[in-house]
Amino acid sequence: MNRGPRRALWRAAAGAALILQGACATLDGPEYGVHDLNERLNRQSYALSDAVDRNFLVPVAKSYRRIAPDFVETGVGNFFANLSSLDSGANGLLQGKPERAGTDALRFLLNSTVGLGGLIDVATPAGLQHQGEDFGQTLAVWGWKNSRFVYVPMLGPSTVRDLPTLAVGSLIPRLLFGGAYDLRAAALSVVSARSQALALTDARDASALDAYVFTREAYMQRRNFLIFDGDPPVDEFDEFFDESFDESFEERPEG
Amino acid sequence: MKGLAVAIAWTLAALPGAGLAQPAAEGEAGGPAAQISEEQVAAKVDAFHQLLIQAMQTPAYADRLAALRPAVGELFDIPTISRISLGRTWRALEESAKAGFQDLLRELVIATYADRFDSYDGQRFERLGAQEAGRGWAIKTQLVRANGERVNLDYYFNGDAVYNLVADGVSDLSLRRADYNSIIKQRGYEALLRHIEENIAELSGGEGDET
Repeated sequence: MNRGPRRALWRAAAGAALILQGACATLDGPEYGVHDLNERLNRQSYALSDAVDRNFLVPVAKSYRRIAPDFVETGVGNFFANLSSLDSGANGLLQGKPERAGTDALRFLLNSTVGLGGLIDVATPAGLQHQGEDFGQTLAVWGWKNSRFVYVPMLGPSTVRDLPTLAVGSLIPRLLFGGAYDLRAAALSVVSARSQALALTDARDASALDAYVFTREAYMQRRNFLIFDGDPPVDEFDEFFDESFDESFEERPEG
Repeated sequence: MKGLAVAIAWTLAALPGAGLAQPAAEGEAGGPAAQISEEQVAAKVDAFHQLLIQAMQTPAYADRLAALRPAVGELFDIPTISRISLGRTWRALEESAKAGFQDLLRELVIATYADRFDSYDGQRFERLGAQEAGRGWAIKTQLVRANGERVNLDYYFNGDAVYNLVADGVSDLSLRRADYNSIIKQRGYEALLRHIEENIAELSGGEGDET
């Protein structure tokens, strides 16, 4: 393992330790939504990250979107998305889902060849949808169903269970390209991802009254959706009709 | 592309349902799925999707607003959405305040749809099927973009009106309930009303993002 991935792992571990030690500081009284054991610390992390995002990343991402021709922007996004098919396929196998793993493998092969190294996404129009598996979902399938929410500074929403996903995801391109995947490539990856997420954060800003809560809830629901491969139980909202539910939390994380 | 899908999900999460029914007071009219046929609720969803396609091809915000207003008011179970969104706060409100909140929420839903479904680029809707859920049918659909990207849209019915819309796993009702109650907890109910009023004004002040 070269030093880059090792540093990434250490950063992830240090971040996790910091968050886990961050005292169970919740605001007083019950609230609705995810039982956020570290809300005060998470909110501080969110505020810091949001300030950096708005003052640095968003202007850079908007400039990138303005300057880069559409085909470059799309191609770069496709390239990094194609790499993530490997991560997704491997985790599909780990979860015992060979069909989903096969779809990702076909996607990678098709996009890497016909799609000119991943610059063109020919797989999606051909009906091969990205399966979106990752290591956090694998841990969930293996039994770690619920996990406490954490907002990792600069990296965004996660759970304790999903923290390794952040490190594993960053390892893939380094393992594939070695030293060729340098700081500039990593920076391009970040800027590309941020530019693609502009629509998402614009929607958040247009809709959210409490942006932190909105982000937390959307992330946790989206993770649940992915863990169930897009088909979660349809009876999960019945509890809303039980007035005693108004006095309780929705989720009690296991770790 | 995944980000865009989630963005749509988040955007839609700002949309309290649409409902074609006339829900009873307090939104307690919902019956078991057996009382309302799958075909009945599926037809409502199809009709609403058809209207959204038309709205996307309507340039003026005011025109989209006018076209969507009756359909949103009819399809979505605003009383139930209001009650669940406010949680315990709802029970403490006078009847007039409850009615006022429902009116405000209805306006927010209509404004959000009119703002977000503002441009047509070959999108279409597909109905995938239906499942029986606790309060009625869950109608599963997808928004399909011209590039093949798909966004799951699941309509949860309380009897014959929609009380929850789940877009790629993100529930508008759960999100709204957490968001609203966070504001109530931190700043009070009046602050929530002001926020929603400001949100409606902002939506009416400009065109939205792509759908």
